[in-house]
Amino acid sequence: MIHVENLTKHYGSFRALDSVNFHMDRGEVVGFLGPNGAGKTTTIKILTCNLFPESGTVKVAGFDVATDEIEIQRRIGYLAESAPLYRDMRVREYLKFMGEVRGLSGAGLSDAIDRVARQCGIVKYLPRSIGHLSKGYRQRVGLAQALIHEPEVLILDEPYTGLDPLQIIEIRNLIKDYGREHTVLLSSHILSEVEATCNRVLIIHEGRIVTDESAALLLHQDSVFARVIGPDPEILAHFDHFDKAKLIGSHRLGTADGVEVHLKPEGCTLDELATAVSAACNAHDWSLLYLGPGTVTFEDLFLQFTRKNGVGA
Amino acid sequence: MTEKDSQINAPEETEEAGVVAQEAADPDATMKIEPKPARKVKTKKAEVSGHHPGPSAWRSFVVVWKKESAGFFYSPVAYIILGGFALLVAWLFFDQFWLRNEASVRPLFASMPLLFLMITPLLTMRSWAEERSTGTADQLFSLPVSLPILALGKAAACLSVLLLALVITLPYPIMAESMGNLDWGPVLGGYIAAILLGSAYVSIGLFLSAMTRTQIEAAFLTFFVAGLLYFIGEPFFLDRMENPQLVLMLTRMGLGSRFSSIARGVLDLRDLLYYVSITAFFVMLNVAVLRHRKWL
Repeated sequence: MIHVENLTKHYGSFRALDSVNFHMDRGEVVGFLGPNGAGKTTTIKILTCNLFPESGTVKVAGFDVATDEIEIQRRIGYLAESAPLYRDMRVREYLKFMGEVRGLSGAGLSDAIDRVARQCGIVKYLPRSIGHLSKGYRQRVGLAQALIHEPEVLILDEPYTGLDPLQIIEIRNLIKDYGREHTVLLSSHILSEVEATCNRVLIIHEGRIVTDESAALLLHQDSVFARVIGPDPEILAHFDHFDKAKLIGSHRLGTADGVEVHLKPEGCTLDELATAVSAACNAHDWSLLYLGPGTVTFEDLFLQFTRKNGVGA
Repeated sequence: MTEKDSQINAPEETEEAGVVAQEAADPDATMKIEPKPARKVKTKKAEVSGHHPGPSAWRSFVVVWKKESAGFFYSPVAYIILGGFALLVAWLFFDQFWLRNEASVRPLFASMPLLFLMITPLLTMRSWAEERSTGTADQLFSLPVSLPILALGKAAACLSVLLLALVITLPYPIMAESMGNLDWGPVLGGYIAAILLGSAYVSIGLFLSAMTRTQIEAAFLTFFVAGLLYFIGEPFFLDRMENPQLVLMLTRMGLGSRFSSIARGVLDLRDLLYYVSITAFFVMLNVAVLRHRKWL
């Protein structure tokens, strides 16, 4: 559905995208993560034909962005960053325009408006002026507009900003549902949301895709998590240069509460690593408060892939 | 329009019939439909979802034009502009009427280029500049509508407001006729000339709105550029010139000089072509600017 090959883009001398490659199929919900200025929005603008690629091949729904703009635009639904809407219009008028411009009319159009209004929870707000809506509701209207023609590909730039937790859950379920039979690409800063919504994650950093893996695989990396009480600097120094593992995260809790270390085995099994950790604590006379399987959070991953050294502070 | 069109429409109409039947079978679906029968009868296509061929260029144009025209009347802007215009026009007419005791629409049409010069920048200024500053441009340019259709839709909307302004002036020729014999030829010519000049102004204004980020910039630039193109052909400017060839050239280039000949009732094909090409030129520039921006 989405096929990006060697995509490069400069803004003046600034390299916004540096040979980006990725591929998305139908039925995938892909999270697009990255710090500000990493190239998320630039990529999205190219996919929605708002920007032309400088070099590389970009195909959406089987069409090339360089030659078949309109064909692509017929097949995509797009929610731009911070949901820019025509504030003077009423919600129904706006949805009507967005539907008509995509070729809906008559009964098909009013059914589509009713459908998306129900899905996005804005039925009550249809007669209201967009300018009078709260940010969360404007975001919903933006999503409704992107869904109105049931596009094959749904592209959402920061769909969760401005939503309260309850709204986030509703929208998340809506997106997940939609992604079962279509293709969804969403960018976000909220790592936990990407974790809950997407089956695959692309992390982009300084214009390059630094990781492209299934969310499950990323999150269930085999690792060991330990909480150790003792002299902090020594513990950290020891595990930082641990011969059986790589320190992928650490956290100082204070002298009484100890240090948390997160270790990824290198050249040994998880069992062996666990044994080695407990042995190290015994040898140094540190008390081992907790030793168990580690869960990688998206925050860890984010830091791991976007920082030069993978060790968190 | 053609046979081809009707062929294309035929399967869609059958599809509509299918949809209606489906709705009748599902009572819930029929309940949800808003009672707007008058509009539904007019529309032909009733596509449900997914793979539809998309609207024709003409249909897209109409949709954009409708949305843009309505946009003028959400805020008080259009009312204020039209109200101001109506006041000025009334003053021009009655000034003549009371002072000289003469019912003539000539001064009305003679000042139309200046009146339009004042109101057009206010109409066109927000068209693109606002889309860019609020970010709606990103959303707009992702829609399956080509840039020329978008530009023409916006131009048509601005021109519609100018047409409405001309409708406001209609009582005056009618009044003039009831008070004496009025030659309708120049009146008709005046309206045609005003529409042609209006399109030229609008296309200049839209182009400059696409070039600028704020509405104020767009309005001032439009006033300046369109004003310059108007004034270079006007007698008060040309009177000081010595070179007759230059005078002739500038007269031909000026936006207003051809206006007066059409407004006298002489519709020359060259004058028509002049306005049409000025308009087309700026609409193309407008599209080129939008297209260029996608490469940045």
